[in-house]
Amino acid sequence: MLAIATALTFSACDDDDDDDELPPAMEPTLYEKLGGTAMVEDPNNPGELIETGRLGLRSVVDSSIFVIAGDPVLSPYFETLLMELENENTTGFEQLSLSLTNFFSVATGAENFEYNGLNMVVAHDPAQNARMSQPATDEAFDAFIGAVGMGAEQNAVPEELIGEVAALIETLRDPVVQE
Amino acid sequence: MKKTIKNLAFFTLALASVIAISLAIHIYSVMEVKPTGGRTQLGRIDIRENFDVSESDRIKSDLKKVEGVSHAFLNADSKRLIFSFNPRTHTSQKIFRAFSERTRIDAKLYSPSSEVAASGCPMNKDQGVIAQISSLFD
Repeated sequence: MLAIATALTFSACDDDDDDDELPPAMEPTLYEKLGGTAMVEDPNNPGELIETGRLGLRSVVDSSIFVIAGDPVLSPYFETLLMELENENTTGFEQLSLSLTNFFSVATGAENFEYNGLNMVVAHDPAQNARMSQPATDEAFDAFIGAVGMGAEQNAVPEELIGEVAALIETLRDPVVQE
Repeated sequence: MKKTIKNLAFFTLALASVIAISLAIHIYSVMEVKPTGGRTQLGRIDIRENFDVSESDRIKSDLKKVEGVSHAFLNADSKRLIFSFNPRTHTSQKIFRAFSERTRIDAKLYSPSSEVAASGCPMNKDQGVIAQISSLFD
């Protein structure tokens, strides 16, 4: 015990010696690694500009949605994808694309966007959200990560960044899978 | 005197008409659904026959050649073809018919029931003030 206390004392004193050292460089956010805020032409909206990071995320999301719609494990959770939402004059695809892109933008460090959807716990709790007909399973969550990974691959996202995206989604497993 | 009453009645009627028309225009402009999107719709074709890897590329390619199809994705394991199109200019039924005529493949256009669709992705539900007020009337 005395040894630990002594070690802590000396290590605390050592901090004074580090005052001259530069602070560690800030690690770029995942959003910055995906292109960040540099503006480029938006291929979906001619004449408009879009942040490169957001364009990358939206492309990944859109490709992932195709994979989700074709996946028997995931598609029951995403049936509105195949519907035109007449009351809102939009489609399930567009609404999900916007919602997921906003979510991933904020989660990866974007500062110019916000996510206004339900939080992950409420969104995936059938008792609190009538649209969630059944609890999400681990199998469905794994399939979702796989779908996003495939969507990222289709958009030539570097493998290490796909790993980071997958790790980010993995942090949501507990609030999403509530069995 | 009679003429004054007649003029007054005419003026009142005209004023009431202007107010009614203004009110009608206001209500219409408030209630009108303004087009904000709806340019990309997904459709799904379930293939009901077996095919190998080489055929899967051809199937996807054949679907992409159908007028109105912007993107296509085939899950060979589940035999599901997913495609996108502009719902303002095309319908999934027309695209499916054109695809079937081109390929003669045994397939079916999938359409979700209203009950199933109601259980769609929970993330779509907005959490804004208006959405929360609207939810009180669900």
